[in-house]
Amino acid sequence: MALDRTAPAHELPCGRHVEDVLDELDHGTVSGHTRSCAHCTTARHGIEALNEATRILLDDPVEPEPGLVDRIMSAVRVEIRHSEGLTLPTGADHADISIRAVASLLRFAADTVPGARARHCRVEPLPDPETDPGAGAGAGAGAGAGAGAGAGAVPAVRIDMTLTVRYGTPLEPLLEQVRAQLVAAMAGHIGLEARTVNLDVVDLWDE
Amino acid sequence: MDGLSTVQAGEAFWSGEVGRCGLARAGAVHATPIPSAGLDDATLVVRAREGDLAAFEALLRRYQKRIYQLALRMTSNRADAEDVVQEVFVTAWRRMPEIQREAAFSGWLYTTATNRCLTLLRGRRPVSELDDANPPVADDPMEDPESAAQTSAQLEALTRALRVLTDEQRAVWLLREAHGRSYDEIAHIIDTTPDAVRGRLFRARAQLAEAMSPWH
Repeated sequence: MALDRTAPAHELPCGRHVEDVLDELDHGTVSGHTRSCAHCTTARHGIEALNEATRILLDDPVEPEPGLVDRIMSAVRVEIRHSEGLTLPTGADHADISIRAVASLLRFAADTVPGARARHCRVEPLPDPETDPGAGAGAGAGAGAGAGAGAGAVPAVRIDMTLTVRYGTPLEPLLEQVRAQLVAAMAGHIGLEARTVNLDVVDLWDE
Repeated sequence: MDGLSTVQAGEAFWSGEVGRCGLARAGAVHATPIPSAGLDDATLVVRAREGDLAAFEALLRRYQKRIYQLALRMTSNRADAEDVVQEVFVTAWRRMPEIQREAAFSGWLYTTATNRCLTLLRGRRPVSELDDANPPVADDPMEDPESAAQTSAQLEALTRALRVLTDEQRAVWLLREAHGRSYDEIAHIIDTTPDAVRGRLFRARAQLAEAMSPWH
């Protein structure tokens, strides 16, 4: 091992260095001298004590105080970035829901499909459907909740989502289920129509 | 947009309960989604980057203990170590939009934590380099009876021995031996080459072995 030994070496009374003993132990080639020399044996005990303590440190028993996570989350919440809102169809009164909250709900909905995990999620309001308000049906007939808001123009959104999918899961049915969940969650929970749902599988995971 | 009825993600809306009940009604739910704690880093990082507090909290819970342990072994002071953890994670939250390589998140935490510790220690001991006679000011964590009870004698000996190293050597040794970070990564953290890291690590081990040998 060609190591730079410019730093002061740790000399033993026998003339060798702690580094020599360490090097031998690292390579499993302990010399006769090291075996028989009292000073090298002492050095070896030090190395063994270090190795033992290192193993313990790999599973370090010290714990941060239990309140630390909450303290950090409080500090983080203060800095939460404001998210844009989506206007909810509440009639005369104005009501918004943050797009971030909607994205969280949609990820949750996607995660209910076995093998799917949602990553990126973007929700964008679509312009008022002046013409042909029923055109969104193609996105997800499966859930059956899409038309829950009743007559007339339900505001529509576009959802772009990326997914990571469990290795070996058939993609077509999975994507259909995710799509259905998103459409159903959007209609049943927020009261908006997910007219366009773009899904993109960007990664695979394995258990 | 600023209406009172705006709901922010991660507050009342994303508490899990609302979503769970609502979804059960809304569509055919096949399974309860895996809690954030079971998700891979990359997924959590993307979600946290987009402001999902539950995902960020899962990352925090996953890494806070290891980052705390690194900071404690670096600084020998619980309060300092907790401050480092808090600063690292609050900074992570602020920088989340800039962290583009999701897989590099843990590396980013280690880099930031190590540098924070080194800065803190430089401020604490502006002159001395290798100062055996004057170990770091600290309420030594090992003097805390509760902690001492669960800490073996070997670990105490190691904690004492770590004080003979320079701050940077200690960082190299801890990152490699206690946290399994790669030579490349450590080289990047302390701004040197992987070969130099190997050399420093070897010397640090010799020094520690000497400090832990029966002569001491």
